[in-house]
Amino acid sequence: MNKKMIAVAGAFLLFMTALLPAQTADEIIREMDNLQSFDSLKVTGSMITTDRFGTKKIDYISWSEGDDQFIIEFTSAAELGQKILRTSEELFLYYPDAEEIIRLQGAALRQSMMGTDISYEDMTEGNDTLAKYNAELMGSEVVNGHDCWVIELVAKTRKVPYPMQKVWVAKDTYIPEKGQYFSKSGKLLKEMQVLEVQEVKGRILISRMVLEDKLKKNSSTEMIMDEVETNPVLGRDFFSLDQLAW
Amino acid sequence: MKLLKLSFRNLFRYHRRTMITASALAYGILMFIFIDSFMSGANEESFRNYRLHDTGDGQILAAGWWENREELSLDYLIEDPASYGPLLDRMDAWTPHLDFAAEMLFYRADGFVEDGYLPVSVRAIDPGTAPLVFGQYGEIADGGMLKSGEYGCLLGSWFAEKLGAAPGSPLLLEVNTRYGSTDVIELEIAGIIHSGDSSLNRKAVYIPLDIADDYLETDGGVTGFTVLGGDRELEALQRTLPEEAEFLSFYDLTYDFQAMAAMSDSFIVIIIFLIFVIASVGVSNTMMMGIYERRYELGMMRSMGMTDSEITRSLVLEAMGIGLIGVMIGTALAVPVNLYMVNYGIDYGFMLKDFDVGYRSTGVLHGMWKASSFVYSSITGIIISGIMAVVPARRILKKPISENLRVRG
Repeated sequence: MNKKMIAVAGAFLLFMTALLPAQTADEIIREMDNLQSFDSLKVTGSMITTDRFGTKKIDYISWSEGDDQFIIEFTSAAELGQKILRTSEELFLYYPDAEEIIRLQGAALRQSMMGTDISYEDMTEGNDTLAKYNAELMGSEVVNGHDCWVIELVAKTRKVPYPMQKVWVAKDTYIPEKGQYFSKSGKLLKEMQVLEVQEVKGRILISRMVLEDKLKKNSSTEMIMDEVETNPVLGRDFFSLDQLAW
Repeated sequence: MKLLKLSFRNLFRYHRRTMITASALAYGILMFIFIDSFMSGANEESFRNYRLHDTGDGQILAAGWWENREELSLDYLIEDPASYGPLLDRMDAWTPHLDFAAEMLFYRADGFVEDGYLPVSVRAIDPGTAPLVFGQYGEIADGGMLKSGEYGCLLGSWFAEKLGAAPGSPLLLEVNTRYGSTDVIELEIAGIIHSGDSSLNRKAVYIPLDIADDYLETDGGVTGFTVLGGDRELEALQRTLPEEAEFLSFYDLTYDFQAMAAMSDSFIVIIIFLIFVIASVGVSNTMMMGIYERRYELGMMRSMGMTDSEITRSLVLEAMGIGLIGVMIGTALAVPVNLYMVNYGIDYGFMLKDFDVGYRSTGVLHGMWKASSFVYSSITGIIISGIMAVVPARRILKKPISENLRVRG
């Protein structure tokens, strides 16, 4: 009798599980994007680059608003005062010594930002993943001790830096624990791994991650976010060329 | 005639002084001919190399590309190259090309000197037509020519040498497609070019046009065409081009080099001027000493009725005689030096391998024969020598005859 009861209960549970609305890849990605999106954000941190020339640390302060407004100012001695502004359409560099603003476009966007493994075009990626990519759930894998969904993103448009991506999204936190970025021909270009997260006002944010350029030997950049301030008040023209040269 | 005789005698009366002064001038003449020959040879070789390896007789380029050529942008393309066929067929030869920026990645495991990456500018060529226009594809020192559809690349010899690259070595080109995506072209080195063009040897990277088109998503678009043809054909071509393209002549395409060569020429003129100033100071100094030594003699000549003008002319003729001897010695020395320069040249390869000095030669810079530099330097040398005698002559002749006669030299 007991065995029969257990079998019935098991079948019922399976039936109920099947009735539960399964999360689609789109929903997971949307949730992941939402978690990383803020009205505005100020981050103080550093980037540690390791390559064939050794290790270098660059400190920065960044401000962002919405999906596509972003300014980063470098505060370490060698790069002091250099800034990068990204708007929805364009990317500008400011060099204080030359007092010059340079608009980046075309092949120049592929150049490394301050010698890191992050290219300027990486910065042009916003947080609206689903506008640019079709997402497909490929399965589950454990990454960094977290059970993750494995999602493949294939570009809808030719105007994205990486035509294919693979992300491992933690099922409990919706943090992208790992990301792989592929070329159009399917070659692995870069890999991102989250090393640490922190909780800010009830939301889990990435506080330390590493990005490896898989084409270059022994080349990686660790991004550390020491202080995160959510929703700081930024002026109306904060993300403008005037602000860049200020 | 009497003055000429007098000057001629004086010239050999003070033969040691004459030879010292003439040597200074000869050195000036030699340097003038040497530098002029060297610079003219470098200019001519550079222009020849531009035409043979880079520009042809002219190029049809997508409108806007040339003004923004530093960007190597794929935003400026001739979208339908096939439609240019009827225009191009009137030319002697033509070939399309696509220029773009890439990051070259190479690994020690594949035989390179290190694991590394470099930003490079790449020219995609049509392996079928490119050798009809350019000379470098006949100068492949190792390996073979590119083939359409094959993932091969050609590298300049000095570039390959620095990387430790050899035919058969694989390398990667990380590129941005026309729309901004990243892609990686996996290539194998097909050949190494060693041409007469230092710029090409130092940095050239060529790949097949169809491979580039596929990876860069240019949909058949090209940066432009290089053409060979006569002036009349080129003018006709220029008139009939559609708005999406512009024609740039050889002179337009080499404008930067011409400006640099002109600047370099100005610099050389300054150097030559300084050399002549030094030589002139030598002549002037010697003449002054000579004239002061002969104060008594000159005073005697004046007291015997020779006019100041006749004495001045005699001294000028004497100085011009020194100039003539200097010119003869300088020219006699310059001929074998220039002969060596023209036939053997000076090997600056060690310098050109690492630095772009603007000149496009093999590294061995040859001189050239320029009759004008021999004529100009000779005339200038003689005239300057003559002029240099005027000042000391005037100074000595300003003094009263009695004062000239007071001191016996």
